[in-house]
Amino acid sequence: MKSILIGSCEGYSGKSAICMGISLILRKKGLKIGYMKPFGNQFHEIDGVLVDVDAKNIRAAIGLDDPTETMTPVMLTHDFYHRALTKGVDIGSEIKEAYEKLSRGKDVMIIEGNEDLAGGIMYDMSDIDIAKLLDTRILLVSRYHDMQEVDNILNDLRMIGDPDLLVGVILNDVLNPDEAADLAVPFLERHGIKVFGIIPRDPMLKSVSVGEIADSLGSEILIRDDRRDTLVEHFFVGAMEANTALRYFRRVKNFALITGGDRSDIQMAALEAGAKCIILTGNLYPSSTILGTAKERGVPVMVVSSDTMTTVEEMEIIMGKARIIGEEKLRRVEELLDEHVDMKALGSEIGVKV
Amino acid sequence: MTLEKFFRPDCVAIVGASREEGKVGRVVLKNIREGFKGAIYPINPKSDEIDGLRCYPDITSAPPVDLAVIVVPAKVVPGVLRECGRKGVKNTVVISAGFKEAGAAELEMECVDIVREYGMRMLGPNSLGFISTHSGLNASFAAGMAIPGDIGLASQSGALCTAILDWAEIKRFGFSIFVSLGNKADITENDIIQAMAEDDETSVILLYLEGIKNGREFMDIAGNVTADKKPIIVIKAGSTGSGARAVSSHTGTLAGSDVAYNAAFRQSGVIRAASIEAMFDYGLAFAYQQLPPGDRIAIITNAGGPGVLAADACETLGMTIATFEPETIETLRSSLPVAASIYNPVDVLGDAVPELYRYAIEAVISDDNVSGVIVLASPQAMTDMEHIAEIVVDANQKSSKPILVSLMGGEQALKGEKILSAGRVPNYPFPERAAQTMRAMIDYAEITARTYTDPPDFDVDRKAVQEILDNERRKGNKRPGIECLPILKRYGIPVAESIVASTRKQAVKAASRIGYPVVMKVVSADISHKTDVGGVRTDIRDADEAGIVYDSMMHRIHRYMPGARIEGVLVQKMLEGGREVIIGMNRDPQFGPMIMFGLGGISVEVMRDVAFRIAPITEKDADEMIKEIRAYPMLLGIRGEKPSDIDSIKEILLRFSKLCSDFPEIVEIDINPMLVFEDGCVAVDIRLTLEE
Repeated sequence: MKSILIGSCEGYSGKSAICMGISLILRKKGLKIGYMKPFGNQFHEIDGVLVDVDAKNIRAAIGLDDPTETMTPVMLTHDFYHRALTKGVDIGSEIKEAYEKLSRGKDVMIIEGNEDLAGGIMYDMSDIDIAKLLDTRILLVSRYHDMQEVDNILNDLRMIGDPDLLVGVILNDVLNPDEAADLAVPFLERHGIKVFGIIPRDPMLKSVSVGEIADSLGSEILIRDDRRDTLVEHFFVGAMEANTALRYFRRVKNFALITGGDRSDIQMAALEAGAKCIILTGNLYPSSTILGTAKERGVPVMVVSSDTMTTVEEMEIIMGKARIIGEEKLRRVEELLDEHVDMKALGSEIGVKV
Repeated sequence: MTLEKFFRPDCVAIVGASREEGKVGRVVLKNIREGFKGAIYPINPKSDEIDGLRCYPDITSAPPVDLAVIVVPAKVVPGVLRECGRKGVKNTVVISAGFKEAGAAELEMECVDIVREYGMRMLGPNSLGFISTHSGLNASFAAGMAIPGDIGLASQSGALCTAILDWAEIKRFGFSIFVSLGNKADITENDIIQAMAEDDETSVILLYLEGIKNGREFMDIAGNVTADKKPIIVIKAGSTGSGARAVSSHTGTLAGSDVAYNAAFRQSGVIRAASIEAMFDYGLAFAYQQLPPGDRIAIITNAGGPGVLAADACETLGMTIATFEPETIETLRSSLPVAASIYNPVDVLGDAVPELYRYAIEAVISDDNVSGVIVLASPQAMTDMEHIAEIVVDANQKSSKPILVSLMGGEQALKGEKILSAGRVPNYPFPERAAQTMRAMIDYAEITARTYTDPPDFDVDRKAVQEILDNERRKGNKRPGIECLPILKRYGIPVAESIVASTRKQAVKAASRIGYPVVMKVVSADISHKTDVGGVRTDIRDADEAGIVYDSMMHRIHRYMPGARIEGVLVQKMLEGGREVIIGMNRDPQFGPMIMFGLGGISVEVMRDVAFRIAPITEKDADEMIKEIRAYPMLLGIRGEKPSDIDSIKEILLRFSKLCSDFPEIVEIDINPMLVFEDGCVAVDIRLTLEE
């Protein structure tokens, strides 16, 4: 059985997405993949049990049947930290045990690290400790917005200490791929750090689906419920004159419109500009002709009872927490990895043939 | 496919005909029977005969028909249409409601699919029907029949149709074809305009529209029709925010931008009326009268006040109060009383006998300085409205210039109005409306007099532009900016010399190559307001300064816009002098690329002093655009300034129009600013929105 721990310099670098992508690609090669995220930090309550959202999603995405509480043996609750700081916690054996259960019958185990490499030092369970405990090596995922990020990567290497423990790095969410390839990659390689790929920024991965929006806003989709999977990247508040609105709408991709149910002109402008979804506030229902046109163009329409201001605040929260769910995003992650990551080289580091 | 048989069928079937009072199927059958001389086949599976007519269970079992009028419940309409298709019926009217207007868009789409499949045409659904007076056919559920006449009318509002019909009856206005457009699922205003243009009985086309389905096609068809001297008068509703909201919720379409409609109407010679009243005021004048050969108007009145009002109205509307030739003045002096005013407006005085009107009209109408006449009469003690009306009708028959009348007042005026109406002379209750109508006639005369030229063609490098655009789209840039300046260059629009640099060293080198002073601008698809984030620096004088500006600009932008993709900077020659103008395009959903021109700065942003045209534009359009803005005199040079190179702006507008027409993927583009010099123009900055 082979394994790899995927860690990062900082949170929200795209670890989960890369875990998923690597799992999907390796699975296609006929390998049996297992997944573990020792520490859960994205809580979701299902039937009275706290589940880590990443674990839950990846479990569904690659079709695992291991219980989620084994996949995420430790949940970083308030109580856990309390114990860690008072009596101290000893969780090494618990993690090891769960890992052994999960890896039974698997070819490759993917282990998702803490929010960042240093996370867990207070109870002696940073990613570096985990890697040593489970006898695996670390692949770093690093966001790359500008040249200063190189500092973070070198700092991580210093923290890891043993260069053999680091497999290499994938640069993710890269704003300027050419610059990264010309400057950062040769530099890192001169410092003995392998770079497996440069993944450019992809707004689609930061999008949320119409279904997720409806569920989060607690609203019913009036028409085209069949388009729940449609992805939304931006949202607009429709408060201006229709023709002005149309100009703004056309400047962005995959947007949702938030406006009052009585603003039929703005609703039409949004439909004209190719809106992906219309959210009507103040419990005001649209006219039947607008619904007819939306239906014809395949645009879901939902009505919420809260006012526009409140809905906007909720939307901001929803859009900020985009996760990798749904066929389309999974496919995109896989495509990005296929296209921008040297999976062959990465595979041989893990010890599998890709 | 021509709609001739549609409006002039030989045999008509009414699917859903009924004998039950109060049912639409009953009203429609009754209306058709009233005047239609051809064969009529009621279709209803529950009856063998209705009102003495043999009734068929379905369209299949009826004899062949030219037109099927469908008044069955919405959900069975597709089935009926399919039967019509199999039977070979080519023309259908769906009066039934309950389609897109009621949220059932898919039912409507199904109907359209069937109609297309069988090569049929369909008016409606949700239409009141239509009336074709010259074939005696009232295929509608309106309360009555229209009087035969030469006005063609199509309305997107059925309710407006019934109101107009009722009102026209009292006014004795006659129609040739009267159409309620309904949901316009298949037959649109464009088909109807075409049909009315081909119809010899129709001499003027009136339209009430809330939206236009295919704007480009509308412009082509309407342009041809108006050029062939059949006027089109349109009321376009939904021009305000509230009106636009009502249009969207009424029809499920976008009301559209009013400036785009105005530009499109102007370019295609369509007259826009501001109210129903104005539409009929113009409609009657166009139907009854000749067009004026110019804008010089003679006013004949029997009272001072109305004459003054008419003169004011004419001049306010940009017409000229004609100056008579000496012979005319002499004739008037010899035939009118001494106290009469023989100069324009001619006042025949309140106690005038009707014959004085005859002398006055005959004298002024033969004057070469007069293009049209407005005759006013107020009911005074001696005034005989009927006789005056007879004299006007008589004079009108001999005249090739238009005569519009305002018999003011109530009952007395009405007596005269009947005579005028019968003699095809329009009458208006007050002088201002007569003046307004005269203005519309002058406008239309100018439209028919103009020659239609094709937009000029230029030698351009289309392939190179396509490559630049494709590249931006591949990078996912929906809003590329200054890095796209070469697009303009490829279309022969001069651009400021510029070089893109992505390091300090490159930037300094570029600056030296271009020659100081230079301007430096950040290149980033994520930053549309460069100045707001310190992304523009002007007047950079040497290499040291260029290096420092590069460093501080990069630092500042990374700090203020973390996460923005920065490709580098663009180094540009610093241009001095010149006047700033803006040339832009916004793709209108109805009409396509709408070109904008205005002077830079306050003129556009605060004063909204801009001109619009729909591309492709002609040389004349370009010329009009420049002259139309209020700030035009500034381009000619004020207070001793040298004039700007207007010919060069004109050529750039035409090249820009071609660019916008050639690349539908450009949704929006602004050249802002473009500098105009005494000799030539230079584009300095640009921003685009690309379609996905």
